[in-house]
Amino acid sequence: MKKIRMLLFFLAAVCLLAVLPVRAESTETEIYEKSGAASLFDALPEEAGDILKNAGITASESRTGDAESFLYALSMGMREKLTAPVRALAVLLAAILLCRLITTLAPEALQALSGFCGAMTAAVVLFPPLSELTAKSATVIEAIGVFLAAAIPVYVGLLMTLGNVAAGTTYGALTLTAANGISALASGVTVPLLRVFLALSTVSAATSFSLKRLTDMLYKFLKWIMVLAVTLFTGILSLQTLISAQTDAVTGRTARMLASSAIPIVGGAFGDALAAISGSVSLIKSGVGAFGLLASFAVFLPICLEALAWIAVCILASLAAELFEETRLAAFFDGCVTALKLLLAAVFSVGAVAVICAGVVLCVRGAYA
Amino acid sequence: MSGIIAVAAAALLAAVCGALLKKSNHEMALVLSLAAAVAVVLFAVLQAGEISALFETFTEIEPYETVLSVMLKALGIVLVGRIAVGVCKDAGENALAVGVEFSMQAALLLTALPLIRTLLEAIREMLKL
Repeated sequence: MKKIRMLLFFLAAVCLLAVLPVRAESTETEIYEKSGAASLFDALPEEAGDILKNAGITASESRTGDAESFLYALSMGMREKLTAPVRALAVLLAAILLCRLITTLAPEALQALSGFCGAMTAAVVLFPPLSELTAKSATVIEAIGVFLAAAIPVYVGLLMTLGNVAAGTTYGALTLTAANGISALASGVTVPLLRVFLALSTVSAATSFSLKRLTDMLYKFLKWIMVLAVTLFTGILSLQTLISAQTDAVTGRTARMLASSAIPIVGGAFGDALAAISGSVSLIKSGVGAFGLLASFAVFLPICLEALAWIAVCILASLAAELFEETRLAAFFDGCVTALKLLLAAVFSVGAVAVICAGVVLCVRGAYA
Repeated sequence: MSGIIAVAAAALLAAVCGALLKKSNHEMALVLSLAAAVAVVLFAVLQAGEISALFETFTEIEPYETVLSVMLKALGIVLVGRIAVGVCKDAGENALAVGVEFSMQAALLLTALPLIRTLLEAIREMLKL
């Protein structure tokens, strides 16, 4: 009888122990579902969602995809987009050659007009894709804003669950304000000014008015605004989160120590349970943070790469124009390069905000750890 | 190489004949120089067939089919106009030469008009967004 009781007790213990990991996993899934991380994928634009899907990265299984598959999916998406710049470059080089031929053959009275024809041709080739790129950049900036509005509450929730109450509060307030502010600045000021800038560069190339100083001034002004905004945001967010995380760590350790020593009998177990839950939440936080990081890259990297391809086209065309002494054409191409650099700065600064927001979540340690 | 030698020889011959004819028959000398110029340009155009074929392949690139054809038309206008201006100046008709230059300017502007329209439309669309 005693042996049978011992056997039953042993079996019951084995069953209980076997259930423990399952319970831990179910706790993790429960925390993940309640955090709202599952809805992050829906907040992404279609193109970014496709890149992440092709790379095998989803909000729930971010650990299955790796950087290599992500870069591969990104390059596959870019392959189609790179044909347009290459075609444009071929046409621009032919136009520069023809323009040089016309300028050489034309009498002196017609030199300006032949240059005008060349500038018109280059403008017709470059203006529509650059205009489209500008419109696309406005959409991307808006998409990053939407994604941040969906992701920041999830990040804050996870930080607070980890015991980082002060860091979470500061982080939430700062990131929501700054992310919305920088998105508004980029889409409300930079992108419209970028359109004006592009139009001025084209007019400057087609006419005898030299608007170079005006466009240069506009470029410097916009660049400084974006750089200042992002630097301030990064600096304040990093410092505030660092200080708040230290405070939270002290509070968390004190709470754990108090629980372990003040609660009789189960105090130690309570402290250990707190640490176990903290570990689960940390795991989810890392997954969500990594997903946020990759999602941000998937949103803004394609347009940055496209802009870089067009910058390369404009630089090569400008070099060819200078080689053939077509100064007006070269000036137009230089204006396009400046406009594209500005576009890149605007998208990059908003993208940097999204990356920093996710990066800070990854870096902050749990208060009970 | 042999082509350019033939062109140079023909041009020199026409110039010498023109100079000889100028004393007795000024009109015939003018016609001779015009015929020689046209022949030389035609020869050059035939020789440059490969170059024009190359540029024609560029005009097939989508969506830029019309863009380069405008430049090719402008090249043709400038080429024809330049010969006409030269002949008019040789004939001592400077006023006519200025008229031809003005016509060339108008023709070039007319050729570039579709490009200007396309560009203005694109700018308007962009600023409307």
